[in-house]
Amino acid sequence: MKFALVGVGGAGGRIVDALRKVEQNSDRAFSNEQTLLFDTTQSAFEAYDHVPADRHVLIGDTHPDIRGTGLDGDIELGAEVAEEDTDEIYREFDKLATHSVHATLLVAGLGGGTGGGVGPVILEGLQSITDNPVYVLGILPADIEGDQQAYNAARSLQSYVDLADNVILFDNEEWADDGGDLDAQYPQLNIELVTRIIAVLGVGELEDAPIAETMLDPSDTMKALDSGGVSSLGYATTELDRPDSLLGKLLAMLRSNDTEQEITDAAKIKDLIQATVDSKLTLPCSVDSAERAMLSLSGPPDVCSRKGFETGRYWLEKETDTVQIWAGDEPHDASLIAASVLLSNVTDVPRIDEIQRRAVAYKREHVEDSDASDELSAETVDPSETAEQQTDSPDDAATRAGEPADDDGEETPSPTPDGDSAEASGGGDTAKTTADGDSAEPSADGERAVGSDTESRVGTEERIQDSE
Amino acid sequence: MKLATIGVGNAGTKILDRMLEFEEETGRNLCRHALAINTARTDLAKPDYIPENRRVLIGDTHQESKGHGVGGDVDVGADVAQTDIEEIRRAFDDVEIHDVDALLVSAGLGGGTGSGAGPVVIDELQKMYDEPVYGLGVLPGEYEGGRPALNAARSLQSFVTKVDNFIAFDNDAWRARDQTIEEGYDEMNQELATRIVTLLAAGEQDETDIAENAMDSSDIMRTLDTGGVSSIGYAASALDGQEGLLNKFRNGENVEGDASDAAKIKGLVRRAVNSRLTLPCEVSSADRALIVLSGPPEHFARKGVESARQWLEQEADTVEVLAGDDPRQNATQLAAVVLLSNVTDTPRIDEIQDQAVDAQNKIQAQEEVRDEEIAELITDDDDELDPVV
Repeated sequence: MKFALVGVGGAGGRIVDALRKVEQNSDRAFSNEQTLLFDTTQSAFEAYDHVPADRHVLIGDTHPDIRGTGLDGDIELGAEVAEEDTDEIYREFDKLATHSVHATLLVAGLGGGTGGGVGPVILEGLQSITDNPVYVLGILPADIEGDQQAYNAARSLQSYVDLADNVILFDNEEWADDGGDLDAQYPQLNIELVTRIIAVLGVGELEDAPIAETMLDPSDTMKALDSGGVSSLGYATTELDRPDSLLGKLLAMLRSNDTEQEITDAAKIKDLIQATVDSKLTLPCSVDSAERAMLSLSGPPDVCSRKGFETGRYWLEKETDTVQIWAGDEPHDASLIAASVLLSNVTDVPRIDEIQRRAVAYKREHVEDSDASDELSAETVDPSETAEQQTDSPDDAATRAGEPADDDGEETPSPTPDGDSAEASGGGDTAKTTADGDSAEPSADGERAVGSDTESRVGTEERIQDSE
Repeated sequence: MKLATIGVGNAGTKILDRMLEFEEETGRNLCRHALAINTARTDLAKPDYIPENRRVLIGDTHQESKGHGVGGDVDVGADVAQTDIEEIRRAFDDVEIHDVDALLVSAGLGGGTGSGAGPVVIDELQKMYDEPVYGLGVLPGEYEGGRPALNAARSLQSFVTKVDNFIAFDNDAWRARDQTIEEGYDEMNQELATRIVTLLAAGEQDETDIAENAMDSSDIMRTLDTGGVSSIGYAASALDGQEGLLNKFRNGENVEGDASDAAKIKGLVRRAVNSRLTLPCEVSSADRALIVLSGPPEHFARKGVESARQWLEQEADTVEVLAGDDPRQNATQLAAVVLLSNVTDTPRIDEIQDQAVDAQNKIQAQEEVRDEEIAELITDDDDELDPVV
């Protein structure tokens, strides 16, 4: 399948750049050079060597809250900025010849303000300009990237899944080394990811390759992805048994007619297919929760056992507990045999549940103190629960030092509906200071949730819902 | 017989290509017209024998196909063919139908194009021509999975109701070890091509000076006239060339040779029926049967053919068994082809139907919960988080 590449935000840009780099150095042409990168900071573009400058699009550079310096993780602001710049964004879409490709792939980190906030708006736009499917490659943040990223990811994932034809996910938590510097690991992680994306979505796009016996057409890939939902990729390779050295070739000639020797046996091919599913997936998940799957085997067709391929395919059908499987081979004159698998619409994904738990905790503590406490005050209030919410995060406690407990005229607005601090609440500026302390949290931050009286809290809640 | 042949989809096209190859190699002239129809531009580049200008791409303007296949979806395959029916009809403009006795449509039933577009093409051919339209279909093996089984079970119904006879080939029965992906289904396709061409090309030369016992096209058509699903058996035996010829000269009357030839022929026919059929079936469930003996005419022993015919009457439990010769002066082997027409006891078709029902239930169950499960995945337990846009 040929697909245009649209990167949004830092992670999206880096991955699109890496995809283009690999494409330029390989015999597989999948993008038809259709690329576009969106970001909210000018400096981000300096890192990209493989996407031409005329495909770098800075948005929000006229917005008073950003002015080209980024969103600082605020997805609400990201979405707002993108909505305001839709004319500009649509103009840039003209640079994409979407009719020259089968699909479009939007790549974004779901935890960032740009990837998580601007991305869904751009996705909406892409869907409106093309009849072809628009898929998303989304990066889930690792735990060390912070709770705000988890919060952003949980929210943007909802929008992405609603708007995209399919969302393929890559989980940084699964792939990054614990404790290591994540920035230093990005290049390696991106290589792992790019390899898998190209193997799955780029199947059938090898130049000058013989025609596959059982070809995976773009229609097959599209059918497999047509379930919507969230998908995961698996990949594995095995060395060829075929001797590649000159001596090896001579020896092979000497024991000619011994063709058995040259056919990579059925068991090996089947094991390879099993390894694609059993090894680390881009998104760890219960394999049997997949609705559909696509399997491709890439390698020299004269050495791969067809029986092994069929048996492996059948194994995958049992393992995924679905009959909706598309499988094919791809003749490739390489020294490796590679198998790749797409698990489409996986619904049992512990990592997403974990991110949601963190996001909810983050929201309760940082975003909607007012909202949460509003509900609590309106219904039956369990004081212990409120207390727990306020103290279960050191981060939170630090931010709110000297908050509601102080009755001494402290000017910070109280997150709890107690009348004392409501009186003490300052104007918008004060509220904003508090919000900033929470590292630019979205939506319910000070500039909107002015004061802490009940009325404005209700207003905030409404605004959050309006923004859906 | 003289045929107009149409390969639909990847498998159907490959089989037709192998048929043309076998014809060329053995000096037969069965397929007077050959046409390939496919939804994938790439696959249409594959044939070696079907002329370039006889390859038709359909669905290149269809929203769900656009010239890159139908994703194994039989409904899309049918829709694409319906949409481009004019183009398909135009491809028959230069088919001079009075030149042919029948039409043959070959297709794989497990994919989307052959199984979906195939029946649409057949419908059209039945409307356009009075000549019988036969189907040649490949049934997917169990290991090809539930979706191909579902396609095949559905498509088989359409094929069998629309064609005058459906000759089946079961991939499962022919699944072999130690083949590479490159060799693929080539060997199987060659086996099928050998059988179908040897059978149908019998009586292709309708000249009057040939032996009275020669097979006639009308005999084959009469046997196929039952409708239903048919299976083909085949056996061949190499001829010991010059030595045999020399013996015949020495023996003059050739009595001894004739006796051994008779036994040989009966043995060959028995072997054809008892060895691997294109579709394994209960032979006695056949409605009609036909034996073609193909090879150098001096090896045809009347007695042998007749006793083989009688034996098959017993085996197939039918009195409608025809037998005839297909003289091939230059052939290096003696071959027997047996057509078992309208076989009704075929375990493999039952298996495919079972697999298909399971597959259909599974797909329906998945579709019913899909939206709910996706919503559940992307929202938190208490639905506290909102989408960003």
